Amino acid sequence: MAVASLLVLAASLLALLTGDNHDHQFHGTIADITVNLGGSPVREHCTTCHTEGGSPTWEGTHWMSASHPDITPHAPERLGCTGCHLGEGMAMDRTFSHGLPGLGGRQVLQGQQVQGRCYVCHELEVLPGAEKAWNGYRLFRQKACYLCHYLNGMPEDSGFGPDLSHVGSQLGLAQLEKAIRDPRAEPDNSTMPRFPLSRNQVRDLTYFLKSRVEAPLFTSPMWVTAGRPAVAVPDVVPEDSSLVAGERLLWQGGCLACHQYKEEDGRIAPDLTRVGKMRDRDYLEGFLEHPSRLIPGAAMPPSLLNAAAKVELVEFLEGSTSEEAHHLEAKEIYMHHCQRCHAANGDGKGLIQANLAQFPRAFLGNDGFFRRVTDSRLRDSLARGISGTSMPPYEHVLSAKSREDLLDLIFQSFIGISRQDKVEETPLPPRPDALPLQRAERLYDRFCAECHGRSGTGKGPEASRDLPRPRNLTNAPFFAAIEDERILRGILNGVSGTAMPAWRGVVSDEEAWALVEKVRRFSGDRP
Amino acid sequence: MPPSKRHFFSHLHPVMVYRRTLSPSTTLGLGMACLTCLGVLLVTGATLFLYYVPDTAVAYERILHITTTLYFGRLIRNLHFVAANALIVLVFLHMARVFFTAAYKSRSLNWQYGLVLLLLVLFANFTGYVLPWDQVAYWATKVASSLAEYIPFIGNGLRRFLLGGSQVGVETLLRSFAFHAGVIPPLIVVFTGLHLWRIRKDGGLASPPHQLGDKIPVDPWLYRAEASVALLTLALLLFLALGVDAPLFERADPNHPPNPAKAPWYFVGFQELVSYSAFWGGVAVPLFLFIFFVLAPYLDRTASPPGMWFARDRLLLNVFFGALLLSQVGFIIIGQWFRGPNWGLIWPF
Repeated sequence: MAVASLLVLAASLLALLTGDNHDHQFHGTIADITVNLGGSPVREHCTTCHTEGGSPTWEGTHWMSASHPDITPHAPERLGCTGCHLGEGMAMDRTFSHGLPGLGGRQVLQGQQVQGRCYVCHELEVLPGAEKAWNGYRLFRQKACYLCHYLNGMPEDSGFGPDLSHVGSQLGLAQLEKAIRDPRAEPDNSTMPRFPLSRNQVRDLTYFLKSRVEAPLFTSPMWVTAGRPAVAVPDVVPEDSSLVAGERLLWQGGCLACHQYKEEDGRIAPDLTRVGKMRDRDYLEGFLEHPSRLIPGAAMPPSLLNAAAKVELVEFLEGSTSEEAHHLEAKEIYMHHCQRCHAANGDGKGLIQANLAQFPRAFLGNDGFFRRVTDSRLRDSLARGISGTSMPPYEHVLSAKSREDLLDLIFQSFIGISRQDKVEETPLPPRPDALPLQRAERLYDRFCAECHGRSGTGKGPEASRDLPRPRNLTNAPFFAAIEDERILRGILNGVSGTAMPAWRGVVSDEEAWALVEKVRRFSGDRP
Repeated sequence: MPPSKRHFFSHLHPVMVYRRTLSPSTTLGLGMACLTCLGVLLVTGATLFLYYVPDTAVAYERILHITTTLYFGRLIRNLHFVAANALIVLVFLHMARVFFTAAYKSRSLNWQYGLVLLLLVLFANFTGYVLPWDQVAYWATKVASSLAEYIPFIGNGLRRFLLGGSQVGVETLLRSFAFHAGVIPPLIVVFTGLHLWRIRKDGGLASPPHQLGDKIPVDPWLYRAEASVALLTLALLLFLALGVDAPLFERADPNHPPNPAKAPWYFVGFQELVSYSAFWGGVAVPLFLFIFFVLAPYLDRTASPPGMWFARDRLLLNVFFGALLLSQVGFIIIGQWFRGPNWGLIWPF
C-alpha cells in the first residue's frame, strides 16, 4: 500500500508539473476575441501567440511577433484571423490551431495562399490582390471544368461530375492540388482526365476552388436559394479576328479544353479536325446530346450548348475542309491519325488512351491477336470504324490504297508478322436448339462476373487489374455490329492480348452458346 | 468495533472476511480496478461536463478549448479517455476471472447484474465516442450504428433510436450526450451498488469450503488491500494519461469518409466478422455470445465448488469460453491493424 501511495503521489506530482500543457506565464492572459463575420460570431485565441498579427517568436521572456502587413481597406481587428487564414481559432496548441492533418479543410493559409479566401466574401470579379485566384477562375472556365463540375452560382449545371460548390470547406490546398494533378489516385475508378496544367496553373485553380465554401460570407441564405449571386462568366474565346463562328463555338462549348482541332490541342480527347468527314450528321448531333449512348463509358459530358449552337457546330464540322496538301505516306498517316490513341510505338498507350472508354488495340507484341483476326475484319475496322468505341471510320478520309498501305505498315513495323500469317481456328460448334440458360446464369456469376461485373458493365472487382480492361457487355452499339459466332469464339478460344482466357473445356458447347445469349441480354440488341 | 470507527464504507463491508479474500490470486483485484476506473470516469466526466456543448456547430471547438486552453484540460480529457478504455478491458478481464473461477455458481443474480453493467459500460463508451465530433468519431459512430442494423426485427428501430433519425447528425450528438452524461452514469452507479451489495448478501467472495481458513477483520486489512489496488490503478491511469493523448482528428465531414471507416475498437471484431458474412458477424455471433453469457450459470452443471481457478471438471467450458474471448481479440486485432483501404488486408509494419 505504501508503494502504491508513493506511485500515486509521484504520478500526481508529475501531472501537476507537466500536465498543464501550455505556458501561461508568457503572457499572463489568453487573448480571447470575438468578431462578427457574415452575421455570425467567431471566437478566436490566435492573438495569444500572434500578438501583433505576424509570425510569433519567443524573445527572452515574451512572445513577440511581427506586425500584420497592411491590408487596407480591411482592418484585422474587425475581421479577426480565421476568416481569411482559417485554422482552428479556439485551439492554443500549434498542431491543433494550424489544422490537423487529413482533408485539410481548416488548414491554415499563409502568405499568398490567403488569396484562397478572397472570394468567400467578395463576388467573383477582378480584384486587386486576388489575381491568382481570379486566374484560377479563368482556368476553370477555359479548361471547361464546368462541363462536369457544378458550382453554386454558375449558369451551367451538367450534373456529370461531383458538385464542387462546397469543396473549399472540405479540402485543403494540398488535397485540392493532388486531386487535380492526379485525379485517379483516389478513387482509382475516377473518370476525370489528368489535364495538362502547369504547377502554377494548378495552384491558381486551388486558390479559386478553396473559395467555394458552404456559406459564402457575403450572401444571405435567400440569395443562395434564389441562385444568386450569379457570377460573371469571363469570355474564354481568344481574341483572334480570323476565327469563324463555328470555331468560336468550339471554344465556347469547351470542346477545345480536351479535343484537338487543327493546331489547338487539349491533349485529352480525340482529334476533331476531320470528324465531320468521318461521322455523319446524326451521329455528331446524337453524340453531342448523349455521348455515352454512342460510346458507352465515354468520359465526355453531354454538351451544354443550346440546340441552335449544336446544329451550327455540327454544320461547321461537316463543312470544315482540311484536304491534305499532298499524298501522305503510310508513316505520316499513322502519325497523323493513329498515334494519338495507339501510340507512336504501337503499344496502345497513346497520349489520350487513359481517357478513352476502351483501350486502343495494341499492335506492338500483340501478334497472337492479329494471327487470329481475318484480314477482312481488319480492313473493315479501318474503313467503317468500330461502333461503340472511339475508333472512327476512315473510308472518307483515307483512300483504299492508303488504308492498305497503313495496314501493311502496322504489320511490318509493330506486329512483326506477315499479313497472311494466320492460325487455323478450331471450328465452332453449331448453336443448339435448347440453351441451358439457368446454368449460364450460374456460370456467369462464377467465372465472368469477377471481371465483367454482375451487371455486365465490365467493372467487376478485378476489372482494374488488367489493361485492356474487360469488355463492357452492355455496350449495345458494339455488340449490335458483331455476330454471335464472334462472341462465341471469344468465349471458347479467349482473346489474345487481353486477360480473357479460353473457356473451352471449362464450359460445354451448349453452355458457351447460352453465355452468348446472356451477353446478348446485357447488350440488348441482336444484329 | 468501537462506534467511532464506523464510516460510510462500513456499510459496504462485513466486519470480518476470510483470509483468502485478501490473497491477490483470488480475484486479481480486477473488480476494484474497474471501480477505480469508474470513479475516475465520474470525476473527470463531471469536469468535462462543465465545458462541453453537445451541438454539432461548436462541439469540436469546445473540445479544442478543453484540450488546449483550459488548465489541465488535456490531462483531464486524457484521463477520461484512458480510464474509459481501461474499463472496457478490465470489465472483460473481470468477467473472465469470474468465469474461470466459476464464481457465478449459486450467485447467478450477481452475474446478471455484471452483464447489465457490461452492456452499460459498452453503451457509455459508444455514446461517448461521438462527442468530440471529429472525423474518426463521426464515421466510427456511423459504422457501429449500421452494425446495429443487422440485429433482426429491432435492428432498424434500434439504429433510429440511437441516431435520432436515419443519419448521424445534430440529434445523434444531443442524445448521445444525454445518454452518456445523463442516463448511463446513474444507472451504472445503481447497478454497481447492487453488484457490490450482492457480494455481501452472497456471503463474500465465492470460495471452496476447504479453503476458507480463518477470518480476519476488514479494518484495516481489506481496506488496505482495496486501497492498494485502487491507488495502483490510479497511478497507472495517471501515467498513461500523461503519455497517451486522447485522439482528436479533423472536424467531422459527412461528405468525406475515411477509407476504411472503422467502428470503435471494441466493435471492430464484429465489423471484421460482418466483412465475411453479415449474418454470422451481425446476427448469429453477437446473439450467441449474449445468450451464452446470460445462460452460463444455469448451463454449468459441474460439481466442483465455486471459487477454484480452472477446476478440472470445467475444462471443456473454460476452453470454450477462452476460445470465445480470444477469437474476439483476434478479430479485433485483424480488424484494427490489418485492414486497409476498402477493408483489404494490409501489413501494418
